Amino acid sequence: MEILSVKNVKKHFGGVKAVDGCSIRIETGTVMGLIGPNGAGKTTLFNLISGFEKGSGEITFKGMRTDKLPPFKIARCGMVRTFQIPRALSKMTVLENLLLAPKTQHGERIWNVWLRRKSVQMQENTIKEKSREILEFFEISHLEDEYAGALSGGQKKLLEMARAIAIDPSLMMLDEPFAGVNPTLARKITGYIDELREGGMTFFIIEHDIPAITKISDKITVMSEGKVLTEGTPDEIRSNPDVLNVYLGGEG
Amino acid sequence: MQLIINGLVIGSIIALTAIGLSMIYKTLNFVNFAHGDFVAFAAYIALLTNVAFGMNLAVAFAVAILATVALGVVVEKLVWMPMRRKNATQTTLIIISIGLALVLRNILIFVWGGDTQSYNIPVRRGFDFFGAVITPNQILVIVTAFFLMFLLHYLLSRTKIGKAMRALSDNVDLARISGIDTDRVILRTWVIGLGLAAAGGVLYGLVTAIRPSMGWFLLLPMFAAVILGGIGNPYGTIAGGMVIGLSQELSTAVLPTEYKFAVSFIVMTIVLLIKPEGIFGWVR
Amino acid sequence: MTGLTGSAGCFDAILPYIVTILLISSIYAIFALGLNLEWGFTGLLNFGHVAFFAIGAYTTVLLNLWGCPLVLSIIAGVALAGFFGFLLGIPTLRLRVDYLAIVTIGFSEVLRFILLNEEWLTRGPFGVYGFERPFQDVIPYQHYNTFLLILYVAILVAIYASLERLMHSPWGRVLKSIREDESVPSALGKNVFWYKIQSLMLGSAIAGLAGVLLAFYLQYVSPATFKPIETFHAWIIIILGGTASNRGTIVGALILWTFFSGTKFISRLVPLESHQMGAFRMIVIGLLLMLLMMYKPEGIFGKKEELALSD
Repeated sequence: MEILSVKNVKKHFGGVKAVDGCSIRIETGTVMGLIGPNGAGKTTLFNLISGFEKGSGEITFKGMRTDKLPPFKIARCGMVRTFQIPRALSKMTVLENLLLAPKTQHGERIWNVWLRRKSVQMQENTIKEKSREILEFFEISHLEDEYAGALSGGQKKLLEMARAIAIDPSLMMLDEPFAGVNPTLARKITGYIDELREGGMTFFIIEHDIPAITKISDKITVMSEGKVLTEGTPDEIRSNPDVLNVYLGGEG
Repeated sequence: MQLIINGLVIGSIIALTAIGLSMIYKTLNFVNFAHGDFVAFAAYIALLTNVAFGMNLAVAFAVAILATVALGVVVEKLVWMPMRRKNATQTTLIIISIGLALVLRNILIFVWGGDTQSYNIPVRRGFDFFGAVITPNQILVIVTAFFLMFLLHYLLSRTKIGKAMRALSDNVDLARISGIDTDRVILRTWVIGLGLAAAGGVLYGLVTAIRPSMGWFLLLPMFAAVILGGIGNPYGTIAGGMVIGLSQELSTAVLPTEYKFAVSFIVMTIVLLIKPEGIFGWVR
Repeated sequence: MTGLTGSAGCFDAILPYIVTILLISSIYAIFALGLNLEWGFTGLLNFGHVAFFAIGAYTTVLLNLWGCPLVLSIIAGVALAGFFGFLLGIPTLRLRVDYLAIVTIGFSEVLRFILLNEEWLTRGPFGVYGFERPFQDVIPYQHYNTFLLILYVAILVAIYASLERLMHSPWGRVLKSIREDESVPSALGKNVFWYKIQSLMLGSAIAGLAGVLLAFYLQYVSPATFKPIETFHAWIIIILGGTASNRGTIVGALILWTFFSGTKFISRLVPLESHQMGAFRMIVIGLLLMLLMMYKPEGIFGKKEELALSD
């Protein structure tokens, strides 16, 4: 079943064609990798899909057109994205960062803070429990009360992923989850992604770490100069000469 | 017609003083809320030189510019530069500039009191111009303002300093990497920007009563001019200043005079909502 | 014997001053708490806060003078202040920080000009007086200020408690996340714009309430009471006390007004003219603002880690 469909999406910045007619389809419960040289337009594509940039073309998520929606509405449909450089909310604790994520918290409506105190408190307790479970899953429970600003780069990456999971999404878009991460942590992250995929989550992952991405992806899309160069299984991509050219040839 | 003349006069003053605001805004990336009070400071120094020391206006003009620029340099070294080292956010700088504005304005009140004052110059009668009256002071203001703006144009387009400033305002990091000493260029920006503002201040004192709050009242029209012209674009600011000045004065034909500043506010808000890069961005 | 009566007499003389300081501090504490919600917790750079101070005060007293019962007038004043917060927010909250600062200051100045000029509505520079005050028929005149003090402190405590509860709720959590980086709550599905508006509305309504309280205390409102400097009084209060610390805001208000009243005492001893004393106070305030932002932006009670002011 298709969860995300991107049709002929374009985004131009003045004279620069960041994304120049991209079409991609992603099936539910799969991991789709996205690779390509720097400047190919991968992050811009992510921005377009998650609503942080607007361009032309059609984007359909879970059967609904989302290309004209603001980012928060798209997120509510069940899509979450992480950022290349983790945006941990450094002035809040790690636990608070996670507590922010879950959808439909009654307490987030101002009048409920007084009118439905009991229910709000109960909900708080529930999401605290779930958040702590997620922190355990990522093995960062001991950092619960630290201000996120004090975390190391790798820990921030984990926090970014943990927070994305806490929203209970259907589609997780990860922007370079393995960048600057040591091999042990990378193996852990791969393990998490596998486990979550078993549970039915769909992944769309931008990466430069080719070995890592070919290991976990079901299919890979290759972008170059704003367009989709080719698409296929990791084996097909590995043996495709055009892909090698694009990486080693012109820009490299 | 009279309104047009008044508009040109106030417009040139706004244009002249706003250039500095615009340049500093672009180069240092923050809104200097104290800019108006530097303008007022200049007028008061001119007043001091002219009235207390009995010098003629030309000398007072020069002294005021020097004093204001000196003050600006001191503030740059003591306040802005250390804050840049600390990577202070724009908001921090804005709030600091508010504090600075308060300090400056109240020093003026402390020393000179809140009453209005004026320069000690012979009162000359205006003469007829297409059915309206234009005074020599007004002519002096317009001529001086345009002369200075022309000088600025020369500076920016022909000299090395000017080119460096333009590079810096386009892209700070790139400029720094290409070997431009950003602190020096910033200092020069302050000097030129405040120098022009000081000149505007002295001229302003020629056509209005000198009060401690005169700078603050000029601030909103100055902001409007800067935004209208596109931040960092001196020529756009000039155009913006003239437009604001003219529209303020012309509006008194239909609105009560006290709403003059409301005009700048409304124009500015509309521009911000529709075309924040400024209307006169193309004037380069 | 003379020593005892002497000190009792001294206390009697000081008591009204203390009541006054506490009264004004409570009013400004409430005013500043509204701003603290907007800036300290949500990160909105609102330089026009005084406008809502004015709207609350003027609406209430004018309605009352035109025959509206006092309670309704008060409610209308607060509600209208909040509503104007909403109106201001709709076009401006999408603007960048610096533009927001400029536009909000412009807004408060334009409002002041309207108050000055539309004499048919607001009596212009002459100001408004002669309106009712709560329970003024019941409480004897010489005790009225003490009554007000008790009332205002009670209101202050109620507002403080409510704000604290709000900030520790999920709603407050969303605000804090907006303050730091709005792309994060946005990517997590929160409607950032709507939260900003709520914050601005609530902050403005609180400012409006403070305005009403000020009107009752002064028994007189005029445009001169609502100059931009009042906004910056609120700013210095929240910065001094510690941005995002409600407790700090209250302390900050107390410190500021004790300072102001203290300088009034000094001016009797020092040969400065009144305008010079006023100017001196403002110079101190301005310097304090600069020095605080430069060297101790977290103020007295703020937490350095929570400061949304350094990168």
